Amino acid sequence: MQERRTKLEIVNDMLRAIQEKGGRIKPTHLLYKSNLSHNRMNSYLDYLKNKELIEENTVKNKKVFQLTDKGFSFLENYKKVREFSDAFGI
Amino acid sequence: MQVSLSLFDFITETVSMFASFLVAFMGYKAYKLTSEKRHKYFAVSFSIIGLSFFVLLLTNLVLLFQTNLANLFSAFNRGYFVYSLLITIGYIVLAILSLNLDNKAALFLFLTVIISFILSLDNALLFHLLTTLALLFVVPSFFSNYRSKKTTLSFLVFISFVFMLIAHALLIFINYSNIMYNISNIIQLVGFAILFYVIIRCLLNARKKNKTRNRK
Repeated sequence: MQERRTKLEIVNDMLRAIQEKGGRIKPTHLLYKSNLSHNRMNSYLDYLKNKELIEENTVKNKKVFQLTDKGFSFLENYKKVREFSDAFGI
Repeated sequence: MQVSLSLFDFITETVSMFASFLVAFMGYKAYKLTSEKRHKYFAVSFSIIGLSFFVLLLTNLVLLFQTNLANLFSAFNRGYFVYSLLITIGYIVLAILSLNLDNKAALFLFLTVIISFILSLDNALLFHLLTTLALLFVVPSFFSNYRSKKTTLSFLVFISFVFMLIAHALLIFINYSNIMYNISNIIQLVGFAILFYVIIRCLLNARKKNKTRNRK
């Protein structure tokens, strides 16, 4: 059975899903990619918006979530921190 | 002989200092990302260890240029005391993290060690005993991490701390043989050099994964 993801891992998975869609994603696609319930995804979206890792935009009258520069930077740093945390077990 | 020994000490202390500060920096980066206290305390412990080697480096530099014998002994005693106090604190914080102690137990252990150290009549022996004891609790936690992760880097971290433990344990017997000091220094250098390599590899691995993802 797969271990439960930590908050940080979920944040990383969501941001990576947006990055893989070219930096912009529709809510339904994100729901599918993030593997979360609708309510949980919304609470994480609020967290990501508060931290300025993503921003909400409208494209052709449809809501999309876009990765900010901070979001890209998070993804960059997450990999380094993940390697380090795995090596030292912290 | 004396010059080459000093040079070797200088190399050991410099490598140990840079490795410690690099680990502390990565710990700090982890804390900025996660806001988890254990990352903060991990960074703090290695910052203190790095600082201890900096103090030792400075002390040795002062000794190199000191001609007055009285000043020489005074400088050595003060410098070595600060170095040994700082590195003991660093390893104790690391041991507290490894043991997952609650705040009260951690504070009790910390204060007991520091007070004992300051009031001890033989700081040197107590220093070697305390650091060895702390590392005896730290090493198993890194071994557990290696067992669960089974990666090369986690294995190297475990090995580096085994080397540090052996280096400090050998110094307990320094009064019986001066060779122990030289062997201990070599082992410590290897331990911290491995740690330095681990951090560089962490950064390189992260960069490689980035490039692979961007190509897709």
